[in-house]
Amino acid sequence: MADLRILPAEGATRTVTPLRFPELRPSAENFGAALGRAVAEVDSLQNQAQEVAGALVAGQADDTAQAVAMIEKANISFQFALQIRNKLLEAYQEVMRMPV
Amino acid sequence: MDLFRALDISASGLAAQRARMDVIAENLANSETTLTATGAAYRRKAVLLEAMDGRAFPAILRPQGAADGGVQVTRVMETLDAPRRVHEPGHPQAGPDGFVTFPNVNPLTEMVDMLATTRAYEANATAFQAAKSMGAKLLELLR
Repeated sequence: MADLRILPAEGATRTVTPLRFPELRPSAENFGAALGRAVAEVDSLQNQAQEVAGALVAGQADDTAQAVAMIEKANISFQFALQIRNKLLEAYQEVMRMPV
Repeated sequence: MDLFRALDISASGLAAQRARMDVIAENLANSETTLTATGAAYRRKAVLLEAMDGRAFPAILRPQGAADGGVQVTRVMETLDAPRRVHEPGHPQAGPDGFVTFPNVNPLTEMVDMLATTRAYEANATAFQAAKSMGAKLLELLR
């Protein structure tokens, strides 16, 4: 960005140093990869929860509290994924509604 | 996810209190048991709880699903209080002096322990619930 020039009333030119923001370094992985990883994590939690729920029903779970925690974790992470998906869809629809 | 650490910790607390309850039930059930596998009378048992503070145990050695900062039952110990001695000469387990050794279990102590365990379990369940609703609250921010 070019330096801003401010012309004071007296007529003398004065340069103002522009604000410096820390450079945003692009992360090693792009958004798609990060999203894919998050979805995979949610998926693995869901699978674990399903396994644990099956063991609970069959009466084979040796740690019921841990099983409940696992199911709850899967539930919360899924809700998060759902919300992220809603946000993405909303953004997409917003773009599509834009008059060209 | 960082949200789930509290859930794991509470779950470990629930599991530990349940294990404590198991031992109390065992003590109550065997409060009059004069014969065990070793041939002696039953001895009151107690659990040894240990904090998992991350320094004591590398993550790999910890039991599956155990949370850093949680609690675990490391051992079930037999207490060494003196057993009750009752004069009952006709009893099959009576010694030459006619005394029978009964377990050192005091049902009153067990009942109080049971109350404490129940309350501790409830506290852990409440902490679990609180962590859950915090997660739900955070989720609401996305809506």
